Amino acid sequence: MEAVYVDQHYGLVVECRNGSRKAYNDLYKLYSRAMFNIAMRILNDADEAADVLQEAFVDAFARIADFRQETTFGMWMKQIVINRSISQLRKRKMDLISIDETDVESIPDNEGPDTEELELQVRQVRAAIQELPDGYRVVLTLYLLEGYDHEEISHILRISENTSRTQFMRARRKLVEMLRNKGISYN
Amino acid sequence: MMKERLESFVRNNKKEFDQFEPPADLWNRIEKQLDEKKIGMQNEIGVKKERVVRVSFLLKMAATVIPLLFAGLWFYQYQFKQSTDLSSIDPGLAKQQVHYATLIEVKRTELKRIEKEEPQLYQEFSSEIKKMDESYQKLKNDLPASPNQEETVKAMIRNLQIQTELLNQQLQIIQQINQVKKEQKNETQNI
Repeated sequence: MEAVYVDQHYGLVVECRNGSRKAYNDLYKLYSRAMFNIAMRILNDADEAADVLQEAFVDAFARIADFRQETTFGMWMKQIVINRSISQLRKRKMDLISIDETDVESIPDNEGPDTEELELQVRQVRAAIQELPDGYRVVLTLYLLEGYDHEEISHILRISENTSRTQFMRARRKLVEMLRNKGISYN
Repeated sequence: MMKERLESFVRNNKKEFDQFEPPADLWNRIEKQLDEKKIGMQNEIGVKKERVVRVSFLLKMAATVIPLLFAGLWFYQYQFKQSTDLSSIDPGLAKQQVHYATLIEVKRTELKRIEKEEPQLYQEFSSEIKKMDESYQKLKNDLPASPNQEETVKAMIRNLQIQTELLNQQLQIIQQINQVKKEQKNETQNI
């Protein structure tokens, strides 16, 4: 993560507090896409991700008066989305025993002739990440894509730093192996 | 294909990984809920507002000018002092500070959920946090003039860590209370 923590949208948050619906909409427009993708990476399900996003925004907006701006709106929002996504994932696990098994056949082939190689590669990596079992996927995503370190992940998931580290190492190994089978090699 | 580190590939193409679009009607869904909760309802009094706006034009001018004056004054006073921007003292510490501040912000709002159901408990819990927060604010205010800024920042972060831990424990207690409540409810239902 960059070392710049000045909230560019400080003013918008203040406007929200003053009751400007437009400011709420502006914040939504600024953050919805990034937040939706965060939820998607954790949940792997577009409907659930949309629900989480809706709840998270309504929740954040309802509590914006309590937001003390010790941190940026974006980081606050991101943390809310991650927390909600994770508790949604935990809820789901209770009624769905194993998710990784159901995913085995649904490997997208990516045979579309339209894409450039890089785009294709991104898609393959992303698809492979989505195939990872939940526990692996969440730790790997938080570390690799959301930019948290293991200490931070340990707080977010309430696991030990060591567990986070080993989970990540295993997830990474599995991902590299999956990608190798598709003809993409990483160190 | 050339071998590349997975980490750097993801980092270099981070934007491309954000390719999902949220559903187009999601804002409408959110707005409906905002209406129900009466959040951001300034528009309803829009007509009345417009008249007030003109009258308060001078006030608004004052509102923009005065903070600017203060900002100027503040800048003048501080320009020879060391910067209090945490990332200029130590980027690593600044990152930690923001991390904990974010966690605390989220946990405080979680705690606030019990305000209605358990007002007494909420009072107790939030006053504990408030005490910690007061000493945090004091450290923060002292930072510009601190002879050892790094130590002060470390003390700030320790404070935030304790706040995080405290909030975790409080939230855990709430969880346990809710659990007991649920079990009692089930028991009465079973009888």
